[in-house]
Amino acid sequence: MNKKVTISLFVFLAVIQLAVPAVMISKRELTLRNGERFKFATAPIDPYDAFRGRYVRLNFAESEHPLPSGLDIERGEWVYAHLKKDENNFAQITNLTLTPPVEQSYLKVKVRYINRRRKEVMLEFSFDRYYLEEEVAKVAEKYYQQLTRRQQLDSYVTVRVNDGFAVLEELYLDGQPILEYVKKSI
Amino acid sequence: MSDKNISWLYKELPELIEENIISEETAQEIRNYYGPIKEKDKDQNLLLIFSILGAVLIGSGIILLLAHNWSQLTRLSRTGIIFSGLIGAQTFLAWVLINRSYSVSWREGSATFLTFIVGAAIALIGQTYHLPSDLSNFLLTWMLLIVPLVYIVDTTIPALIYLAGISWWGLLVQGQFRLLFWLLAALVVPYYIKQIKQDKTSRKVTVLSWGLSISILFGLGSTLEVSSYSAILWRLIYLSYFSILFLLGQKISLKTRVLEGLGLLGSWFVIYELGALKNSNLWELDILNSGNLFYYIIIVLFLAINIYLLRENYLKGDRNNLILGTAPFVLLLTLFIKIYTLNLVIYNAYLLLIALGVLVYGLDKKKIKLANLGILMIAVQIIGRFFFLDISFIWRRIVFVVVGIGFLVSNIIMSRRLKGEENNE
Repeated sequence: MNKKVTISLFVFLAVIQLAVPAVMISKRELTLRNGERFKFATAPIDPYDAFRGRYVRLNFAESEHPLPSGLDIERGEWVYAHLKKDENNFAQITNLTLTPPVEQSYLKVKVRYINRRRKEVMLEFSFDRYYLEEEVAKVAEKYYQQLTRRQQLDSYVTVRVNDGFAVLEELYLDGQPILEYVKKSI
Repeated sequence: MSDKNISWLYKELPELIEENIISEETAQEIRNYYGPIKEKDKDQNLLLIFSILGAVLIGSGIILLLAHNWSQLTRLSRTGIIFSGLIGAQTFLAWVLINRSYSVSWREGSATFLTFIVGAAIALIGQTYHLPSDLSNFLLTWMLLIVPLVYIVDTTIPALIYLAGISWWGLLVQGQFRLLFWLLAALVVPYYIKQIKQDKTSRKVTVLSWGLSISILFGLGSTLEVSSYSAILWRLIYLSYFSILFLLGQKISLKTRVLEGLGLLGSWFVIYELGALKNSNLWELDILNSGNLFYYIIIVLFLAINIYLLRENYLKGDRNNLILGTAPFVLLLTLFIKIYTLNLVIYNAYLLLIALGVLVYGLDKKKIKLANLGILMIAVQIIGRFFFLDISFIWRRIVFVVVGIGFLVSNIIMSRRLKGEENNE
């Protein structure tokens, strides 16, 4: 291959290699800036399973939803979850449809599985992990366990939502951002 | 001209340009005419290994370092790290392309480094924005962003990383998307063919042969859904794949016998396993109704390639490969016989025939390792079958001892005879 051709092809590739991360980042930055803010309560899960490695695995109470009658879905399919805020700004899913709603915020979610007997849908949100620094994760795990044991769990994440696209903003333990909570507790 | 002379000439070029004896264009034309230097000197081999190893270590080190996830780093500084890392690695590779494009070590090292940096960048984005645990999308994005390097920079290590990446991806994705694996694998095939045409004996071809044939093995594993229903067809596909590898290896006869080796051992293993099947119901399946359409397409395609290669090798006068090359057709035949015990006998006889073929070929060509492999195959078969049959422990142990003695004695006789023949010559 001619050197000029090689170099120009490589420059082209380099631009793509830069453009893909740029698009990934800017889409999320824009959502964090302009998206509507929702709180999602994280359900108390098995504490031993809560902080594995360097991230927190998040389980949400809202990921279970009654199967709307007449909605024909299979596991693995994408549906639109209509969002509403309650008086404390916590998100509530009001309905599931195959097309996005027009005048309401919504999330694009995946159907994890359907329990036809109990008429329930398990949903998979596009946010199920919160990454933390290694040492912080260890400390956080301990306090998370104490909180769960005392049944005083007030933990939630804030999520920015724009056109069905969601970006995780912050994880709160006991009403405080996790890093502040961990720092105060040390 | 020999490589040493070319390398001397290339070292002289900058001085000649400086002294205005030749122009920059002429120097480039000279480089284009002679092409890159084949680095066959020991020093340069070492340089190549170190440059690749260095790139892999630094690259993976950076990934691991970033995985620590410092909470002091803001989103802005993380973005800064991502782009400065990418631009740095790209600039380095561009510099290599302009100034050191004749050196394999520089090209492999810098391209491998960029490959890791691209992966680190995408991983860091995932960490910063708490992306879900979606490994398959991460791998696919990464692999698609680096595969052009294989062609643009003419490098093997990124091609191997790519093959490993798409194989892994194939195992993770679900449903119809799996079929996309074949399209992804096809992206590196032209590069492989180009390398074979350039120099069959090169190390590149050996390494790529390994990578590609193992990657296809994984691809078959992830795209063919296995059920007891299709168990026999599944084995037929694998057997014809190994048989194709073997015949293809004979046809293009690379310097190292990578394809033949994999094909021989793979075929042997599938037949060994077929000869020990305990589930006699498998043979009673209606083969025309036990797989999906994809199965039949692959089977027809593979058998056609198999017949073509058999014919080619036969016309060339190469008849050593007939025993192993016809393996898928033996399986096909037994599918119609459908008698469990008879099929077991056929497979075990066939397995023995293959081992004897290897042994005789090894003795004939005076390749002691190959002859040993043949004996080892027979030994494993005998021991394995005695375990398969329900006989007493004492007999099993006696079989062990007898096979062991046989193995030793035949080895001694064989090596003496081969040495004797060498001395006579």
